[in-house]
Amino acid sequence: MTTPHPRRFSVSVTADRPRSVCVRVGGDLDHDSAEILVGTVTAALADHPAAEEIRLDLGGLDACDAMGLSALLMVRRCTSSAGVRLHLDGRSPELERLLRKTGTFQHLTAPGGHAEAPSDGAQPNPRGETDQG
Amino acid sequence: MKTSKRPSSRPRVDTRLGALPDAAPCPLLVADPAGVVVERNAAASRLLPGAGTGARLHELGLEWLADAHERLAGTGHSARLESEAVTGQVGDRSFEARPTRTEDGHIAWWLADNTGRRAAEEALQVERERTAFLAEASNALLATLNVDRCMEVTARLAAKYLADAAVAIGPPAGRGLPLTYGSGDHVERAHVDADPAVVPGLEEALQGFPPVASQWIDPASLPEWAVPPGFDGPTGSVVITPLPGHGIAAGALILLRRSSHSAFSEREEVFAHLFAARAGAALSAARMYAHQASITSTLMQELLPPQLEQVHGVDFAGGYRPSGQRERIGGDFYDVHPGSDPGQETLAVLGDVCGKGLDAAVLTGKIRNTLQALLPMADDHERMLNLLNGALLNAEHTRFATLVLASVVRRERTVRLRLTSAGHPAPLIVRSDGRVEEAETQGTLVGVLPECHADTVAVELAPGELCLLFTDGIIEAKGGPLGDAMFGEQRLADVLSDCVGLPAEAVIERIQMLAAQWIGQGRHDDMALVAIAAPRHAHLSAVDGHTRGRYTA
Repeated sequence: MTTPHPRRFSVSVTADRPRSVCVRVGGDLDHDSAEILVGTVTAALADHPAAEEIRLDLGGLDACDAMGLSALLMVRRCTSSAGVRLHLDGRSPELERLLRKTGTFQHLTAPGGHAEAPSDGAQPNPRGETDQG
Repeated sequence: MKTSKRPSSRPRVDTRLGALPDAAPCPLLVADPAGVVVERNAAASRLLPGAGTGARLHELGLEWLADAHERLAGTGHSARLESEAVTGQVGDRSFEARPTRTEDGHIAWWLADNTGRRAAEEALQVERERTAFLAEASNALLATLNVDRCMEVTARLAAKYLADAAVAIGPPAGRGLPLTYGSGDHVERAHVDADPAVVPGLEEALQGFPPVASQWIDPASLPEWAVPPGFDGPTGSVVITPLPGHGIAAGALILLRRSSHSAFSEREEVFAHLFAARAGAALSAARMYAHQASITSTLMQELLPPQLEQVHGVDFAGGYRPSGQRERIGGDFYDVHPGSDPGQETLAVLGDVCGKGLDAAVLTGKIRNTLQALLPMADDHERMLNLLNGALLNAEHTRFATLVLASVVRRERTVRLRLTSAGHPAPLIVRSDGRVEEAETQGTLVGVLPECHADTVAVELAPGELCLLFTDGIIEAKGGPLGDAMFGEQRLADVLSDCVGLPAEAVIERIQMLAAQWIGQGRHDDMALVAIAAPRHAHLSAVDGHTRGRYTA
């Protein structure tokens, strides 16, 4: 957190489990990288139409600013409208603080997709209409 | 002779009579050390009929050659002379004379006509000067983004280097033509109510049509306004050149020469066009900049935070430091909307829009306007925030804002606050004993989620107590001894604790000063602050012996 140099942003998509896509994020999520993340998730949704959940692995995330939060909100909006559950894994204490401070914790950490779906997403879940915009 | 390309190779000089190379095309003069001609060949006889044997070089009118001869004759016998070539005029032609020492101590001068080469060298020199001028013109033109200044530089340089006088004409503005006259070093601006169509070719030039050549324009047809004031003498030739801009003409240039001057040559005209291209690009950039600057300044007038002062017996002070000096519109904002009378609540708002630049500025403006329209709803902050949220929701993006609402009213000596945070750092309250409390309010940001939830907390400020609204640019400002530590909430609280009893304005100044010191040369986000304070004294007229002097930082 204290390196003065901007850290390289990285994002990678893996689909090693059926119906589950993992998007691994590393570096700073900010003004420069926000669009990349949203673009990657949008593409992942299009590439895996059968996916029921997207797991955003934020373990490698160094910092997240307002634009980064805006990107997470956009990711959430995209997954919701696709009827796909979103999980934010590996949240750092800093990120949790940001989510709580801005009142977005509930919104971003409720899996979405289908409200009654179990959070681990292991059992098959019929695709349906979107739950919210 | 290393570099010579003359066709004839120079034969060895033999000074014995009859052996002179009469067949050589180059004139040859041989003179003794005293400067008396001892021999010459046939070509030299033709060139210099007076230089017969026995004639003195000094008497031939060839001072340049005689002087060189005298100088070389004085040098040692073994000195090499080949590199001592001199150049001078013979009649109306230019010659280069190369010396060679003969076996009996005379100096033989081979004369080669280099008139053609000299002309080429002079032309090269002229071209070099023009290139240097174009470079100078570019520098002078690009040094300014002010349209008037650009026009002045164009007129001045054109008058100085291209013609005797010049008129730079901007695109017609309304009914008039903006003119900049250049004559000598004098530059003058004017705005004439004239029709460009009366000058042949000018209207086309102003539209960016191909330039009209100088000989097509009859100088007598120039109207009075197209001749710079103070330009004396009849106009001999005129060139009208468009100043090509980005896509459209940035104006036109009229170049005038006096009749005594020769008319413009084709090359000069091409050169004038090269200059005009540079001037046009600079003018066009200056115009675009002026346009952008006027947009920015209009936006800034609307978006810059207001000056705060006391409202209905409550002290308000604000401070704003944008992230970069160049973009003065940032994502932070604050406003204070006074209640209609002292019994009504005044609403203070401080917020932070995510992102930077114009996008953030537009959203900021929208939020401020919407909140102003929602002022009648301010008795219920959560409802107000939900209405604002609904107005901001946008399917295209998830740009959001976090903000704090503070409804403020003074009751007797106490100031009552209702504070609501919408996803924003909670306000800090400084008690009169130096304790710093965080207001217990929390809520969701606005602009993205379908609904907002927010808790409103009521707080009372006793005289001398203060509530600070701030954006996270302050606490997240990186700096300190190692340049990488955040200013942090604790440091902010400590500063506030030390500020007990100071006027609101002084508290803002102190925090800004310390934050600026903390950041040093480093980069930072926007920083906005609003202080709301209960005045120490119930009545402004009270003199109770405890009146503080005005604090100066």
